[in-house]
Amino acid sequence: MSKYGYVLSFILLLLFQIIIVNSVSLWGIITPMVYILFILILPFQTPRWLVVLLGFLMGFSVDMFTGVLGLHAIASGLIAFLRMPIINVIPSKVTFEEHLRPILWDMHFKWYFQYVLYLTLIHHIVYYFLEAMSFDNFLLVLGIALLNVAFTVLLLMLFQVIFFKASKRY
Amino acid sequence: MRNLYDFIVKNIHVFLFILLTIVGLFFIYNSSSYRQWAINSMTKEMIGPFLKLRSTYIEYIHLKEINAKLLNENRKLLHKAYNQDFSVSTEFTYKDTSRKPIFDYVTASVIENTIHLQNNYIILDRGRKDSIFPDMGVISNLGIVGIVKDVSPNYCIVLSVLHKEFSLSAKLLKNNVAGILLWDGMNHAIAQLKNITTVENIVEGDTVVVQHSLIFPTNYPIGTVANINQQVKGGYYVLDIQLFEKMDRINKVWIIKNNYADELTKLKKMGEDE
Repeated sequence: MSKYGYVLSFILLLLFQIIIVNSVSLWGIITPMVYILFILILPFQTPRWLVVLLGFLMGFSVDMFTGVLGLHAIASGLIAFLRMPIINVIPSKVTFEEHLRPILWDMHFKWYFQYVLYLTLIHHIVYYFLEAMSFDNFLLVLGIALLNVAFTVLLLMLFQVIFFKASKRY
Repeated sequence: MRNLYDFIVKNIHVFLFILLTIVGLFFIYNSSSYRQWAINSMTKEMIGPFLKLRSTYIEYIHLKEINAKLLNENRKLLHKAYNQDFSVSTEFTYKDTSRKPIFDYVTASVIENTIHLQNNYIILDRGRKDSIFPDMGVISNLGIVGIVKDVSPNYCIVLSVLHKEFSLSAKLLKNNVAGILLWDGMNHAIAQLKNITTVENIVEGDTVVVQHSLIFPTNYPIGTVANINQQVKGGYYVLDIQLFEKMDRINKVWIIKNNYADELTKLKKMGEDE
């Protein structure tokens, strides 16, 4: 995927998030946040500062359409920052090669599932507690966050299956 | 310098992340009053101990100011407490704006104080510039302290209660029996009350206050009866009076100005001349 490919996926994911996902709200509490896929699919070689900046920008863009400025921005900025440490933590059988990208078909399912799950967990928990702004209803907020995590992870994995294919060796 | 530059470049993503998070928090803070309140209360809780430490420190620094304020307040209360002599009855009180209060109070700090001499003086940091004149009374919040003797532009010398020349007509609060307050030069905590007839029933612990005086407010406390000397000479007691004010520890005092002193002395003279 070229530079323009990433720009395009940025715009498409943003539109998908704000037009479709945000208007579908299951039982009034579940709104999966698929836009974080953009942070997940950035190549391993992307400079870390750029990942942080793009993550923040993505979150901020979503914020602009959903009300409170800064909530998504902080949460997605955080996972953009933590992406590399988490990649390093997850045990991998695959030796990282130049052409591999962090997508499902390039990696093992187990590895990729963990990758998606951890980052989504962090993102959602941070987001929902920032939104609640207190630990008063700790279990309720945590429950909502975890429910959303399940749906987001499901959607992200589906996206991977549908829209991506394994990278070719150059 | 080179190392610092390298460090910053190497960790640029960390700084960027921190910066962006702060920006994000700023936006959240400005989004709604509830979030402002929540963030405020959270941060207050976190930095509360530091704030407390800071406030105690500031309080300590401002002790002088606070002290001055309290003194001022006390002065006002003194005004209230000892200026009610003119009101005939609470039912018929009226506001007489033409009449000055009897006493004005000026706060002063003790600069020098002696207690070990036979004739003790106190020097205060008020003088002619503060319209202090000789024969004004000096009191503390506990009891009487002395009488102004001499005045310079910025300072005044006070004849302490512990002075051989000091004398004041005082009375026992419970039965209005009057005597003369003097000091025998022995103990700085104890003065003597003389000229009290042995007919009176006096108990140790009775309160001694100021009798009608041009200098001090009437009924201003002096001390308590500590010892009743039984050497009865000519039918008079000599009472030892434990002073309320600890003369070795006075620090902040009030100088009292009687606004009617001149008038009253003139009147007295007229009476004596005839």
